[in-house]
Amino acid sequence: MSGAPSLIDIAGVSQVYAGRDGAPTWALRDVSLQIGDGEFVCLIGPSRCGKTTLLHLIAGFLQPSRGSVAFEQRPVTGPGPDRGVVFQEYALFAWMTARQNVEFGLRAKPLSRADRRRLALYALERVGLAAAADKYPHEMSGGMRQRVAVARALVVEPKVLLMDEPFAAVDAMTRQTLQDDLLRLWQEIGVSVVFVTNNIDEAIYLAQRVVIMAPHPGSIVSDRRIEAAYPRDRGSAAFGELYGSISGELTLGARKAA
Amino acid sequence: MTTISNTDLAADAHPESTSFDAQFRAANDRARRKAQLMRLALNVLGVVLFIAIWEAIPRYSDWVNEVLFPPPSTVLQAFIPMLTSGEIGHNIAVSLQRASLGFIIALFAGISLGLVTARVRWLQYLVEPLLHGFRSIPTIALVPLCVLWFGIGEPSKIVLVAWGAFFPIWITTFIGVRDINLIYLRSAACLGARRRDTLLLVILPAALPFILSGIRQSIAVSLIVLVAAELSGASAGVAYMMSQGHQLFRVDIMFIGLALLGTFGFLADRVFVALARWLFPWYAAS
Repeated sequence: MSGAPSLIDIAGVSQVYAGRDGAPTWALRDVSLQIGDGEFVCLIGPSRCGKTTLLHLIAGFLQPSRGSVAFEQRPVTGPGPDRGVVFQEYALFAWMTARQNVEFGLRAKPLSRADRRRLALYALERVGLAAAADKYPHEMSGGMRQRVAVARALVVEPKVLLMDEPFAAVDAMTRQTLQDDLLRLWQEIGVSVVFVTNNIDEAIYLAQRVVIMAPHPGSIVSDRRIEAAYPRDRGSAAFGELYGSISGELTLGARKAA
Repeated sequence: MTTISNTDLAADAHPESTSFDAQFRAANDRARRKAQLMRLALNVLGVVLFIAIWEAIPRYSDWVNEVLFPPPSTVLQAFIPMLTSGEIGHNIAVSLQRASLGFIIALFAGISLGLVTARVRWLQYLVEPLLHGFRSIPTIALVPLCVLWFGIGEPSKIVLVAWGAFFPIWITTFIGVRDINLIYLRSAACLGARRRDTLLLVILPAALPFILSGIRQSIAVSLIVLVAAELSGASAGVAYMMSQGHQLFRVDIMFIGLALLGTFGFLADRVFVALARWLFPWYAAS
């Protein structure tokens, strides 16, 4: 990383909560991570390794028990439109059409109704869903819903897109097209992406950096840079090699914890 | 879902031909209409059968007293002059006004209090035991007290209906808002939504299925409390008319009242369901 200050600065963060028997449980212990402007970072690890907690700390849904989380050199005190979030579950408002969902975030801006509508339709067009603007979430497939969720998050022009296993609930074929579309949007817009997944293939296909985490307590095992050019070839030898070594590190982390 | 069998279609219809498509649609429409018609016919038949048996038993058997159990024809004979004289219309108007005024008060109070108690933690803890305590008192038990406090005029009836209808709306709004999926609130927060937008466009719609079920319950409760309040002393109203019938030993008039109350309840529920479907198209479907 160059001398430029990073977009997201996580320094010595621990997150402790009371377990079922009241005992302290460490979701994260002493985690530090910097994420630069425009970077695409995947957080990968088994369940309970704290990857979602880390994402929620950046989003401002949680406050760290110890340490600090800063966004653009300012401590994060709560959620805000500079950090867009796409959730794993379907977080679209079920009572709004696709267009109304996307428009919702624009209501806080000084825009006319017509401008809101125009921007929302443009955002839907970018994710290839202009034709579904008047559909309700229950009329759309899982993949379509996640596209709308991405459009809704991006329309307010956040600096970073925080994605929590966004494609985990869609079928494998749809997942690949969603991944390609996400990469295209990231390259077009230049937004940073922090992407939580438990899928090694997905991490290698998408990320410039893969941060590998382990549970008990949640911590970072390694932080690897992937230099391969986009679009990446899943069948290449380099891809397979990376897959093997990341998989090895993950099982090592899991075994150490167990 | 209807299955179209071979016999509904022409034998020479080729599955790829356009005539097959048209024939299939026509046969499907026919089958659906037939099923709907059948259902309606049975609905009507049930009512007709009921009225016929009700008419026949007091007339042709000697184990039912015709004065205590008047047949529909007698009830109708009593009904028509009361209708043309405007007596029934007046009683209906008075009752509906009481019920709807009380219900509207309950609607606004229930939704706003439900919202506030679910969103403000300390307020929730403060009023929770009181609200649950009051909720446990059958509203009908408050009728005598209410008559003492507010007299036998309109206020006591409206207050009683409002009180009884308030609790189902409050509790369902409270539960709906309290148990709102956190993901909706987080989505709104990270889109930079203002408080008002979050409340009106996220929290209330998310709780709506609960609120609607509370409203439906309240409509039924309103009617029950209305009857209890009117029976305890009134100078007009459907239940008042029934108690007059009671004192005059006119069971036919009491039957008219019962039929009216049943119709009220049924229509109010239907109107509510239709209104909910029309206002919230996503609600029935999702």
